[in-house]
Amino acid sequence: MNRALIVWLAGLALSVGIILHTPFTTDMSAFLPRSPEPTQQILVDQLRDGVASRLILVDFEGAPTATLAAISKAVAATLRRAPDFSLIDNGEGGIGRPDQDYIWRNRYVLSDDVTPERFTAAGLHQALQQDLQLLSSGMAPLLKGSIGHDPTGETLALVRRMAGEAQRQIREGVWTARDGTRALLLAQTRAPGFDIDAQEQALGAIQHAFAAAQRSVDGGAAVRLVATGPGVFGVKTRAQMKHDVSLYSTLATLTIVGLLLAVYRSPRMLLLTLVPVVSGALAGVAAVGAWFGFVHGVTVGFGVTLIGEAVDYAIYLFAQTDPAEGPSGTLRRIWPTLRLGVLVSICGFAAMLFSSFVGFVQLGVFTIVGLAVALAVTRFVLPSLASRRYTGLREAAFAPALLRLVGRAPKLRLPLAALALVALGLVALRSNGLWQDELSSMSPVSAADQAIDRDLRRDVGAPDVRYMVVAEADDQESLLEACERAAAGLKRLIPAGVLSGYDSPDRYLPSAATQVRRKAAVPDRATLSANLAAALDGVPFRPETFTPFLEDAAAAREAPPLTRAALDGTLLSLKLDALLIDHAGHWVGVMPLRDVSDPGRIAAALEGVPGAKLLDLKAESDRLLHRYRQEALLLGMFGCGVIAALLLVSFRAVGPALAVLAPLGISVVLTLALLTLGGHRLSIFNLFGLLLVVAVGSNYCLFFQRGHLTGAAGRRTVASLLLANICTVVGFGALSLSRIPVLTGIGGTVAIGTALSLVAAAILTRPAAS
Amino acid sequence: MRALAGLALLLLAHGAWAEEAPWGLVRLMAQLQAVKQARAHFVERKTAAMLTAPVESTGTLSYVAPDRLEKITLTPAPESIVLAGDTLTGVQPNGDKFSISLGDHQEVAALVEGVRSTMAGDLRTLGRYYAIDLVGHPSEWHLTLTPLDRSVRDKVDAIRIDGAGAVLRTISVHEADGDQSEMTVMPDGP
Repeated sequence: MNRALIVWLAGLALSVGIILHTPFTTDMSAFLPRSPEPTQQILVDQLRDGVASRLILVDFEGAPTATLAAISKAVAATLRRAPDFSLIDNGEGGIGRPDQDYIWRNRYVLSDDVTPERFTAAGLHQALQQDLQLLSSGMAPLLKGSIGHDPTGETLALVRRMAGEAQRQIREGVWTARDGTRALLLAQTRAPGFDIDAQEQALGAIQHAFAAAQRSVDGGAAVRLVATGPGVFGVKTRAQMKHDVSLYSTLATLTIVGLLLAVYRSPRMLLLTLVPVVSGALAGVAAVGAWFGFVHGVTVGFGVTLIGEAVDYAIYLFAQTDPAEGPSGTLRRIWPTLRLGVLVSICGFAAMLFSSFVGFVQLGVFTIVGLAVALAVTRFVLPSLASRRYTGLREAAFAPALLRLVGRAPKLRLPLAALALVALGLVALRSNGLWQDELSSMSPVSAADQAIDRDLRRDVGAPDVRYMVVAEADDQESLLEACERAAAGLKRLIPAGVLSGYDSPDRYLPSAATQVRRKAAVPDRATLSANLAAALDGVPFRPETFTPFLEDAAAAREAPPLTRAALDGTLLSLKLDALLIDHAGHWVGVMPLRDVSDPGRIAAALEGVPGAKLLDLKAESDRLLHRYRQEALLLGMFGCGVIAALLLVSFRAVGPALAVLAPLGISVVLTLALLTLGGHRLSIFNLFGLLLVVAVGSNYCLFFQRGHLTGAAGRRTVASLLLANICTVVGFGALSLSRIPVLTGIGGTVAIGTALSLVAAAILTRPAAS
Repeated sequence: MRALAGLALLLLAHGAWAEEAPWGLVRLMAQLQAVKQARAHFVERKTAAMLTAPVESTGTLSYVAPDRLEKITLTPAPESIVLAGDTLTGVQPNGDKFSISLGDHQEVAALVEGVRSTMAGDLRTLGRYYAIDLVGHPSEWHLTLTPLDRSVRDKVDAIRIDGAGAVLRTISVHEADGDQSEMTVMPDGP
């Protein structure tokens, strides 16, 4: 056994060892930027683990309301015992006992109606008249009990505001859609929305509970379950991605394997072709694991695609093997070309190392290590593994014709140049609408699923998914004060129809300053008693009815300040936790809005409130995407610059470097023009595809440039390039059949671009020597 | 058929309607059910321990079959309450709006169904909330509704409705603590 084999085997063993100790994550946030902008950070945090990201909306349908209600109750009972959820809400029970007690006991500090005017003789008189009305209404038997304690009606107003946030329809004791055809259940997972594994487990728990409920409820078999929410989308997308990747890559693999087998007529050579790419992938994963301490699932998935060109190395070697020199001799001959080609690819991919997204840095490390190892394995290991009796392929029947075609190809220089100019013009004309900057349009979630989500959100009365007010401060107290000022501005806009409602942390826990102010608004017992006596004039209430009120008001004045601890054990505390976030000393308050019709007026109303602003999640995410794309574009250009420099240095002449760069540039422009035909917009995924086109296409150019395009060697060279390109087109073309934007984007671009760059290289690149 | 079965159960349970009579609850309910629309003025008089004197309010009532009931108070302060389907919505004298789902508030549901189900002739719903006792004859009948639910019975002893033919004359609510309200209904034309 030679030394190279030993090093290779030891390296493989080491890689496998590292991989076995490396945790794999599916946390998509590795592909979100660590943004220096605070609002984008909030956006990212919201996407990562905001309340909205943890909600699963469940809908039971397809049976009479009574059956749906029974199912809903049974499922809710099971899920309340499950460890995966922090909150299960199906409308049962209304507002809970601990919550009622909290509101009742603290009504004078919680209610923003508590002002000095409310407790003057005039204010109380007005309140008493309303009480009189209430007493003579049909609801008197239920409501009159609180009149003596709370004549100003603070509790009723608070309960309405807090519990009646979403105007819910309750039938058969559970929450239903307006027409009763659907029972609704809202589950809040403990795990954040980006934790796809945990979301999948939570979804599994829901489905399991549902299956059990179907068995136990009469007629339950007819009920259907529909679940939606960010976590559900994540799980669905991953499943779809797995399905598409495995289906289309199996399809591609089978085709490529069939093709190579037909060409090589040797299973052994086929397996050897895969040795460099597999070694490279293992080394790449190990390198990422050793460097970062974890490997992202996406890094592996895409990384293998990116280093797919390593399959070409073995094809070049085996398809160009000269019967006279054998694999080792051929390798020595093509080695400089191969080495330069890999260096070009590495330079292209190295741009990713400078990305602000951890995920892309990982991809950069993976591809660089992967390609370098694949090249080394091709160089030092493959020849000794290949049978010594391997004397190359039988010459393909079409090879002479192909070589003649390549010989005549330069005649097409002018037409190609003209075509490239037209394409450049087309792309330049559309330069404004060239890019797809809307995140939603790149969403892998189907339109039907998005429609279900919209419907369900409307039924649930879930907050606006686009707008929210965000306040920031250095401590909890300042934050609550900022939220209060923002809430005061929002409240004024509700009657004007600018929005229909909002939620705010101060609703559950007012700032200390506001608490003090509200307590001070309640007069001392003697004053209140005198005001009440005056207010009773002309209202036929017996004065002694309100003795409990005088006592409660006096107690409220003396009560200790309300703190977060007072909310323990209530459902309101969960709401508060979702709205009041402590980022290691930096406090963020989230104020969800409902039915926003005029964001401009909301933003204007918030101008005077320091630390608070309207966050347009859509605009922010689109900006994020824009930034993300700009960065990719910049890095891509940087990569091209490095490639040009590398070629200049290695050729020490401008001409040959241009001869490689020109076909690549032309094929990129033609690909762009083809992709944008018919108004189609480019996404970041197409950009990635172009990076691959440059990496793979440069190998073609270099082989054309190396020369020897005559005789048997020339025929073998052109045949090997065609074979390598067909494998690439088949592999990536299969991916483009997927419905997932990222796969379609990369697959289509690479299939078109590499084919074009092979043709362009044949037309433009001539041996440097001649 | 279901209404009949419900009635049979009620009769067995309360035994108040043992005699074989050609006119009875079923006939009365059918008669009420035939009324598709009704409008009336009302005067409501409330007496309560909290009050030094009874309070009177006036306004209009309107009913549209099968489930819409509207009560608009004009004096002493304007207020409107609309019951449609499962939802009770209202505007208070100060302009505040509210909306309640009956399913969410069983006690509210019991109280409003006492009147609405009677007007709708919906014996099945009425029987779900109340023990029903009918005396009198077609031209002058007295219906006594006793809440079945214990938490409602803690607050309301009974609702009494007097009527003639398919027309309601008075609706009175007798609360458990002795308070009571009596609404006199005056139909607007035929």
